[in-house]
Amino acid sequence: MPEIFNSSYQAKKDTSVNKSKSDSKKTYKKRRSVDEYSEIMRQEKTKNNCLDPFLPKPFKIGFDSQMNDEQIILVLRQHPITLAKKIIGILIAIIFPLMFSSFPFTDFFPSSYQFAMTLGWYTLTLGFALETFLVWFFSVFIITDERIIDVDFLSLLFKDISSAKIDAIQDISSKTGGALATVVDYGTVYIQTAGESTEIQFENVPQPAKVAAVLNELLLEEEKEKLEGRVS
Amino acid sequence: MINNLTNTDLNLSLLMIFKFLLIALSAFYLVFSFIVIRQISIMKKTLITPFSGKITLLGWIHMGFAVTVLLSFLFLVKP
Repeated sequence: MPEIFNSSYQAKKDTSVNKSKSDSKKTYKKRRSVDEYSEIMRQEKTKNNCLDPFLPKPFKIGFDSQMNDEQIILVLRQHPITLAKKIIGILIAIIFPLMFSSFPFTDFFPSSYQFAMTLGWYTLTLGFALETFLVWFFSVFIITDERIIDVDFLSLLFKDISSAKIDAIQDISSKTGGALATVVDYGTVYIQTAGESTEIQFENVPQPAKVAAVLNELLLEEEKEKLEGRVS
Repeated sequence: MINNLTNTDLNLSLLMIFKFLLIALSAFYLVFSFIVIRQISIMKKTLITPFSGKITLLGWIHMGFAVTVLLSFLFLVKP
């Protein structure tokens, strides 16, 4: 009689299935939170101000391709100081018509035209300010316990999303250049990966050295997971 | 016939052309403000934050401005 019809074989198989189920539960339980293995993240407090360019362990933020058990470790944006030129431009655009009694260089137009042009000018300024804010707010760099994601909104009409698994990272370096970047502490983190897009850049992010250190800790943890057989 | 046109007539027709240009530009801007609202809804799905509601409101305020400008160009601007 083939072994498959044997009741003791079936019982043995059921036991092995149950065992593998409990093993997978154990694997799930063994997955550690970031505070357990990252010295840097342990010192960082959870922030919930969505406008902060450096958001460690945010719990009210998510992204569209996030998996159920994927934990966000760090959300980064470009340092607000990098928007200084655009903010100054917007302020000048607001002040410019106020410096003249009528809209400049349009004295020969009837007053209704001058009013319309002032209104149009402020609408364009509002549009530019809104676009600047939206592109800054939604262009984020997300570090989770599984991967890194770079969401780039180049303008309101073009978006570019690239991601790489933590274990595909080959090299991490950070660069800070210029007096302002040194004083305010912002710079670019370069991440070489083995994936299709070979380099991911976190441009002008606050505390680039800290970000690179966190990534190194994640990489080490990923290697430990593989060695200890905790790979999910 | 050209000789019969006075300076005032010329000014008036130039102002009418200029008004038409202003209306066309503001209509394009209204389309742009609608695209901004659509884009905000896509961005909101990409990055989910508690701040998203306020950003949608900003988009609608911007569109309100665009509508106001178009209406003012249509009805307030008179040569």
